[in-house]
Amino acid sequence: MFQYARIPSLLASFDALSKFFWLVCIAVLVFIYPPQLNLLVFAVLLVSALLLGRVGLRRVRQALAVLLALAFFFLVGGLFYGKGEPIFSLGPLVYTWEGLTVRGAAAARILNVMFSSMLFVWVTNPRDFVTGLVWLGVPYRMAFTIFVGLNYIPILSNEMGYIRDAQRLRGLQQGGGRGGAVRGALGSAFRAYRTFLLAVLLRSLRKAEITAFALDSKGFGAFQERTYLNPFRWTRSGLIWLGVWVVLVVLSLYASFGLHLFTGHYFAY
Amino acid sequence: MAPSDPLVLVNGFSFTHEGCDQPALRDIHLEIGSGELVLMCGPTGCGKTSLALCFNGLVPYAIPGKLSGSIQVCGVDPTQIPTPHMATRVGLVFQDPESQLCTLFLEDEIAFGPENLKVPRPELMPRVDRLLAQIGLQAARGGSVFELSGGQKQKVNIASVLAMQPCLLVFDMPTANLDPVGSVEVFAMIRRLVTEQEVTCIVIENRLDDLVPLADRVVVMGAGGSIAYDGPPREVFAHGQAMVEQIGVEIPQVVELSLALKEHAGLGANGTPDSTPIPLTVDDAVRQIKTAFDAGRLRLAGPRPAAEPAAVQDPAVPPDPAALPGPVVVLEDVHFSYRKGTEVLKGISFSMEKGELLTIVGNNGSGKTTLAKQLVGLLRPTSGRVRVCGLDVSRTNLADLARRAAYVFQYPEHQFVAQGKAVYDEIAFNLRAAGRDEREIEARVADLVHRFQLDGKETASPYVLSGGEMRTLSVACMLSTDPELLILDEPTYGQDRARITALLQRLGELRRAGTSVIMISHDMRLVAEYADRVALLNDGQLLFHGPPAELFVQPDLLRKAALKEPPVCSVVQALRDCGVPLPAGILTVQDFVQACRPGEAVL
Repeated sequence: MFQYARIPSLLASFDALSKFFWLVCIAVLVFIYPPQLNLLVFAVLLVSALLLGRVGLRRVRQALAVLLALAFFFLVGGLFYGKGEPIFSLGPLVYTWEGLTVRGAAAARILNVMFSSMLFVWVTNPRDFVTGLVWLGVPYRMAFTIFVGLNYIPILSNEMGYIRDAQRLRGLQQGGGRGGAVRGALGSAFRAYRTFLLAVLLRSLRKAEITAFALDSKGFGAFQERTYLNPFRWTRSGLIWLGVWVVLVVLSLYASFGLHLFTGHYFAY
Repeated sequence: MAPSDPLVLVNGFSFTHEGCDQPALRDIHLEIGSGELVLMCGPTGCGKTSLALCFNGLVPYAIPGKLSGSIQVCGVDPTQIPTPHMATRVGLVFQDPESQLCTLFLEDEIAFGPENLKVPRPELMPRVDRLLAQIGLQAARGGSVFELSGGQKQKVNIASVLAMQPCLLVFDMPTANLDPVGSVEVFAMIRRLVTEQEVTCIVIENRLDDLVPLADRVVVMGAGGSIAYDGPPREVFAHGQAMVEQIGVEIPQVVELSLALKEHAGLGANGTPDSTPIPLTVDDAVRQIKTAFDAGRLRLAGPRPAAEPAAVQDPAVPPDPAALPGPVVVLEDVHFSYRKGTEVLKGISFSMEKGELLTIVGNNGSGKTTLAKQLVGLLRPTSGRVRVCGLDVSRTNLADLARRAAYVFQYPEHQFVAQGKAVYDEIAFNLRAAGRDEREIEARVADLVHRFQLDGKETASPYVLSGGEMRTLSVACMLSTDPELLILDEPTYGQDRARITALLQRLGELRRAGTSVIMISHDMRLVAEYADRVALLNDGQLLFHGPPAELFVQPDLLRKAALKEPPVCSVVQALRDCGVPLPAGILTVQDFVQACRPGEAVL
C-alpha cells in the first residue's frame, strides 16, 4: 500500500520535485480551506489518483479503509471538545455540533494530507525523488537513507508474514490468545504482540546489518559526491501541473487573508 | 603492487570478536595469486565468513575486535582503510540475496556501486548494459529487483559488485537459497569471470559437488578458526576421509565414491591399486571405474541379499509399512491461489503413509512452501481437500492441527516465542500451553535437550546460539508435544554435513517411533539418501510422486524442475551407458559399493 506502483500514467511521468512541491501546495490548501472545500480537494485527489495516476480502485480502496478509520477516531475525539450545542451525550461526555465541525475539519485535513502523500508514493519512483532531493542540495547520504528505508518495506513486510505464521503455529496469535486456551484475553494478546515485535525487531536488525555491510562494500559514502545513472531533470508537464496548483494556492491565500473568505470556528483546532 | 605479488597475503593473522575470549580466526597463513578461483569450506562457525569480512575491511571497520598478524589485499592493508574505499579492490557477495540489494530497480542496482565511486555518467550505462548481458537479464532491465527469483537476485548482486571492477571477488555461500540448477549457473558464471576476465574469486561454500571441478584451489578451515588444508583440489581431497571424520565437512560425492571403492575393493582412483589422482568430476569417476571393470579389478556383486530389518542398522529406514495404519496425509486435487489471482498449486493429489519420509523438491517458486503451509492450516485450499492425521484441514482450527502436525520454518528465530528468556523456556512453551504439569515438563525438556545435544545450553538465550544450534532447538521445540507429522523447511540450510547427519539421525529415531516427516529441500544427496518418496513440484503442478530411485533416472524431468540428480546417480547412468550392467536403485555411495566386489586382478 505504501510502495511505488510502477504504473505508466500522466502523474508518473511528471518529475519528482514538481510532485513533491505539489504535495506542499496541498498541505497549504488544506490548512486554509474550510471542511467543504477540503472535501472538494479530496474528491480532486481521488479523481487524480484514478484517472491521472491510474493507480487502480483496489489500491485506493485499501488506502481509504485505513484513512477513514483514522478519520473516525478524529471524529470520536469530538466527545472531548466540550463546548457548543449538544447532539448527544455518552455518560458525562457530550458530543456537540462544534466538536463535530472542529474534529471533522481536522479529519478532512489529515485525510487530504495522507492521501496526497500516498498518491505521491504510488506515482513517484523513489530513485527520482532521491536525485531530486540531491538536486535541491540535500546531502546524498541523507537522501539515500530515505531510499534504503523505502527499500526495506517489502523485505520487512515479508518477514512479518513469516514470523506471524511461525508464531501462530506455536500457539501465539496477535489479538487472539494463546493456544486457543485463553482466546481473546488481553494479557495473552499483549504477550503475543510483544513476542511478535521482538522477533521482527531481531530479524530486522539482522537484515539491516547485511544491508549496511552491502552499502559499505559498494563504496557508499566513500566520497562527498557521487554520479548518477539517471540524474534529476525537471519535466515540462510536471512544471505545468505544479504551476496550476501554485496559482490555486496564491489565489486561496489571497481569498483567505486578503478577502477573509475562509473564516470560522473550525480553525480553532 | 608488482604484477608477480600475491593478491592476498595473510601472515599469522588472528582475530577475536569484541567481548569474546576465543579467537574466530587463529594464525591464518594464506597466499592467493591473481586469476585464481579458490574454494573455501569448513564446518559451521569455523570463521570462514569472518575471514571474508577481513578482505574488504568490514573487520574491523564495522565489526570491531582484536587483530594480530598482517593482511594485505590488492597491495593494501584492509584493516587500515575504511570499507567504502576498498570497494574498487574487493567485492563481497553475501549469502542472503535480498538483504544486500540497495535499490529497487535492476539497472539502478548495478549502477549503484560505480555511482558511489564517481564513475563518470557516460561510462555508467555501457557498464550496466554489459553486465546485464553477462547475467542474461537484459529483458528485465527496468524491472524491480524484488520481482526476480532468488537465483536472479544473486546474479544481480554479483553484477552490481562486478560493476565496480574489483580485482578480488569474495562470495559468502552465494547459492544457499538457490535450486541446484540456479547454483550451477552461478558457479559457471564465477568460473567465466576467472577465466575470461582474470578476476580472482574466493567462494565460501559447503555444497561442493558442482564447485570443486571448477576450483583451482581448495582451502579447508577447521573448527578452531585455522586453516587445516590448502592446495589443489585433488591433493586436498586425498585427505577426504579425515576431512569428513575430523572436521565434519562434506566432500564431493565422486571423491567419497572413489575413497569408498578404494577401501572396499582396494581400487585406486585411476582404476589401479595406486592412489592418484582423485576424481573431481562425474566423467573422471566414470572413466576410472570403467577402467577398473574392464581390467577385472572390479566386478558386480550379483543380486543383493533380501532386505534385512534395515531399520535396526540405519536410523533413517522407516518401520515396516505393512504394519502401519492408513495414510497420514491425503491431498485430493488441491488448488490454491493467493488473492492476486495467480494459481500457485494446480491440482495436487498424493498421499503419504505413516512413518514415511517424504521430500518436496522443485525449483525456486514452484510452490513447495505453499504446499507445506496447506498441511498445517496456514493456508487453506481454494478447492480440493487436504486431510492431515485424519483431520480435514479446512474444517480444523489451527491450534488443533498444530498439536498433530508441526512445522519447522527455514529460519529458526522466526519461531522463537519465549521472548529470549532461555532454551528451557523455549522448549517448555508448547508443553505449558498444552497444560502439562511442571514436573512432566521438566522431564520432557531434559530429554529433548539431551537428545538434541543442547546439554549445558538450557539457560542460554535462544538468540545467542549458533545457526546449527538454533535449527536443532527449533526442531526440539516443535517435537515437544509429540506431533504425528513433522514438516521441515530446508533443514540443511547453512548447516555443515556433521550437523545434517546428526539431525537426520534424530529424525530416524522419530520415524521408528511412528512420526512421519516431510522435508522441503534442494539437497539432492539428502533426498537420495534418506527419502522414501519424493514429490516433485514445478510451476504448482506435481510432476512426480514416487521413490527417489525412479526420479533420479529421469534427467529430463529433473531438468524441467531445475534439479540435478546426485553425482553418484550420474556415474551409475554413465556406466550403464558404457555397458556396465549396474543394478537399478543405486542412489548413494553405500549402494554403489554394495553393488560391487573386488575383482580377481586385485585379489
